[in-house]
Amino acid sequence: MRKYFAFSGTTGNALLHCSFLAAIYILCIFLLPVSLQQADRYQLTTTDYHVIMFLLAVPSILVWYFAFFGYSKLYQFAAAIFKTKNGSHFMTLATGMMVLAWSLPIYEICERVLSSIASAHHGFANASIIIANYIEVSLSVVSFVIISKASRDIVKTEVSDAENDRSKWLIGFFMVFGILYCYLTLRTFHLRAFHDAGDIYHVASWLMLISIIAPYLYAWFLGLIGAYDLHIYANRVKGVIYRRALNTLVAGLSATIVSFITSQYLFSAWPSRHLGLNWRTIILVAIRLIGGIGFVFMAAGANKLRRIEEV
Amino acid sequence: MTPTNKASIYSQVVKVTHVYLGPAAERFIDRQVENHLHKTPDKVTRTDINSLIDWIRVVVSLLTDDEEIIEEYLSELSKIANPKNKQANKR
Repeated sequence: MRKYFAFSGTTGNALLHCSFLAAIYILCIFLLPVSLQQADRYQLTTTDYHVIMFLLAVPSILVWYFAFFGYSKLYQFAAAIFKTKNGSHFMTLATGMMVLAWSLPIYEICERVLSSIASAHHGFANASIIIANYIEVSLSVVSFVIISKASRDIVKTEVSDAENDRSKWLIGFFMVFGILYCYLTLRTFHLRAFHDAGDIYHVASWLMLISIIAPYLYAWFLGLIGAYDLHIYANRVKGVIYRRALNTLVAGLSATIVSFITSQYLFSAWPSRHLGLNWRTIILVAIRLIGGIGFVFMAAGANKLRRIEEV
Repeated sequence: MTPTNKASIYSQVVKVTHVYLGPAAERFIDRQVENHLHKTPDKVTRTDINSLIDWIRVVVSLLTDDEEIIEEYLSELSKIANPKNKQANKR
């Protein structure tokens, strides 16, 4: 992983990888077969459909660039302090952010490919949705587990009573958050006929609870805890100038994690198969862009910290 | 000057720097001493502090625009260079 990071951790290489993935995604949008049912529903030609899909993809691709830029800067800071007590933990954090960044294009490309296969082979439609959901859940769980572990190790270097500081309000908030999510998601089920065309997830409710809702809640809880731990660390660390740079990094990282969680929360609790510019799309795009800006702030903070270590 | 005093000067500088650069303080001072004073950190003497302050002024200006913080930091380092002034101020 370190050898990969040495290659991809430079900003140029990270952006190159992002460009490669963006090119693949754009090719998928324009070359793969479209859903004729969707095109007919909106009275679009296939070309119109391709163009609309591309326009809807532009904000996502922009966020990918921000994300790849962000994790590369965090990696460079982690590399600068690798021999210190926190170095390996920040490297782990950079790994988690890298997985989070890569999960964005990987999911989108997989989802596009699966959708195209489903358009051509209608029997594959349910499977494509299930597989896409599981890809997203898996990537989220992996990235947030890594981020949470790294944050925990970082905060332990400064705060010995971190366990107590994870106060009851955070756990209480997450309980409400989780219960609300379960209600919003399960209400999308047509429990009597889950094969109905209106059903988005195409799995039984019990399987949905175990394999999608529970892992999402686990991943989100870890992500929020990770952001909270880093916030505690940033407040406890000494050094006026150092803390300002660290606060910028932590603010960006927290914004990224929260926006990621929020967009997944809204997307899965408020699913839609409709194409086009509606309030749901606008809100999701806005949240994703906030996440992208979070990556930029994270990069700015990491850059300042790296300069402190290098000048 | 005794070896203990020499070591304590470096420690004092790091201690002051810690207020501003936190975990990076020791590494920062080591770099400035090695790169600009061409000495090992344990050989820093009171007479080196003024040169060190000049270099730190330039370097810290690259890290922050906050002039107040920079002057405060350098003022604290000056007290290490001129302890008699520090004692006079206390009286």
